[in-house]
Amino acid sequence: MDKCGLYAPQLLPFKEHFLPQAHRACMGCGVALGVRQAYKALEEHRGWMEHARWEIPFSIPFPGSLVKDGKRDGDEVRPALLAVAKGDQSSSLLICFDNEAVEGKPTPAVFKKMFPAAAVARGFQYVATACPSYPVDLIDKVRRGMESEGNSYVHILSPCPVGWDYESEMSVAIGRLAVESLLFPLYEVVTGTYRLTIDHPGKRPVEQYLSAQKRFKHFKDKETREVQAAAEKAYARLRQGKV
Amino acid sequence: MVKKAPAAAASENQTWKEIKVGCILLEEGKAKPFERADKPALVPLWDKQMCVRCGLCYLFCPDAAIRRGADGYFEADLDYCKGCGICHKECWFGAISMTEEG
Repeated sequence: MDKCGLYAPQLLPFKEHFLPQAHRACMGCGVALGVRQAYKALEEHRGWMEHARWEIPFSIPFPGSLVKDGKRDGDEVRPALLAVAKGDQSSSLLICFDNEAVEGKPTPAVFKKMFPAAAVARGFQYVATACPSYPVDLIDKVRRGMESEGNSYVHILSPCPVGWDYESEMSVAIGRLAVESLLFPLYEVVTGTYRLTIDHPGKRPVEQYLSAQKRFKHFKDKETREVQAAAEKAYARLRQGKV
Repeated sequence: MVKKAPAAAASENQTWKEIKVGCILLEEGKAKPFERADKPALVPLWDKQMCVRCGLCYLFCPDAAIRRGADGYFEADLDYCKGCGICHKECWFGAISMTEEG
């Protein structure tokens, strides 16, 4: 949204493919917001994400079900790839809505970005991370993922008011904090080449992001410093085009 | 419609194998007959003098409850609004206030 003008929402299609009566998400749900914005790019291809309408539980592999057995990088994404992309020659789009719910203990996003990296290692042509707080960016990435010829993967950070324990009106602001504090950098990988789509030169301290959620209330100064250092290190590597 | 057998006969012939497993949706579209999930405590109200019709509230609504009216201003469909307050928080001009439904 930083590069777009104020009236950018008027440029997007006003037609709704995401029906409000068809989902039962909590109020302020980040996953519902992400699905709705992704629908604006998918448009006629709604069959791809039909199962995300809360009529039936998610059949799209959720991070929680993936992290359970695999410990090495790459193992986590493998069940998803087997389910969605059968064979390297296929052309499919896998969207993962990550609300960081089932991980045992609260973990900032910087410590577990194995999903996009593993997808790159598996030879996905287009891999990107997105956040519903940056809607134009998200819609653009899903559209590019759909138009790419090979397999593509989009990892979407979806804030969860219930799991992360914050007021529901902060849902979009929390996602923006995660991006601005460099914990969840927005980048895309086109055939193995990393590129930051939104680069924040002014660093926001991660303390603002951590203190806004009650799930991190056990974090003391030591943990906060560790997260800050890890985030800056990972971001510096990402800026040079490495993971 | 399948005619139901008399209750006495059913209880004699039925075993545990005929009992359906709980918590499984046998058909989809269960939420469609309901017009609204619950009555929201607070609903958004637009101040048309401060609104510039940018559409940010429309873009950030998770429930797709905000529609653009004929005059270009936005309004909430109270059947589907859950009162999360994202539009109130994200409005750059403070044109949206959360009020009690009245």
